[in-house]
Amino acid sequence: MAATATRTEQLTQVLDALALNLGGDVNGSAVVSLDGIVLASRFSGAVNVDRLSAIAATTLGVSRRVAKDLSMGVTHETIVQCDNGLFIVIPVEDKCLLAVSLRKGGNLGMVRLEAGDCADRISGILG
Amino acid sequence: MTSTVRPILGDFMSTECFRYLRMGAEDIAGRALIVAAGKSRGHSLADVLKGLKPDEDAVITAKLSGVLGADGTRLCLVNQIKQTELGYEVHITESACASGVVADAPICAFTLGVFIGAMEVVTGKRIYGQEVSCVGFGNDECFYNLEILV
Repeated sequence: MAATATRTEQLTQVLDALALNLGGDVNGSAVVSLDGIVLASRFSGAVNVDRLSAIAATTLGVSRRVAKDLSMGVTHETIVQCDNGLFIVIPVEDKCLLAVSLRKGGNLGMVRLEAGDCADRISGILG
Repeated sequence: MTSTVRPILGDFMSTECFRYLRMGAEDIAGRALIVAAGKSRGHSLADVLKGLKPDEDAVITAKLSGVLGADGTRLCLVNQIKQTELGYEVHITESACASGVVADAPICAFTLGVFIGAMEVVTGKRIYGQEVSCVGFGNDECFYNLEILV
């Protein structure tokens, strides 16, 4: 009988599925607690994931402050658009966030669709 | 340690100024920024924690008490660090984060980060932490649950 996957392994499987479904558009992704602790990651070893996770959570925190101060409602996503790609932070309810690095020219619409499915699965795993 | 930049005031400042720095930053950017700063401080204790085994609860408690407590930087009083099935329980009092604060939720983001960072050094593994109780929230002690991520 196969051993039960740990929570980290289950979250990593979700990130693997995200990358698979989006072809080569995803440079890396991570599931991060709202305190900025990385729970699972699929970034290359060249990326400081601990640091990036703290930045992603802070990015979401700042976005939520903007939304609150401008009475703009709930924050659904934060996108950092750069010359060579996009960095997307999507809150998973009030449990954690999904951070995705997308290569230049990547299909943002598909990422949004897939990320929504990911968020549902992540929420289920975290309970 | 005596500061050459602050020969009169030395290395300590009031928790009041610390509170404005921490809560001001948290108000703008959320807790993650503060937790990350705490983790960085915890990681900086690698020399103190070098060679400790993850199951040496009492020694870990004594080491962190020495460096963070009354004879150290006075961040908090470290009362107990206890190994659990999933990681560690951390029990502290007099946390600088909770000083002078009445909150409707746990507010020890920096101190929590310090213990996450310190225990990552001890275990060599990534750790997720949650505040279970907090003096600033009206509890008798601040109590953190640290989970080793595997």
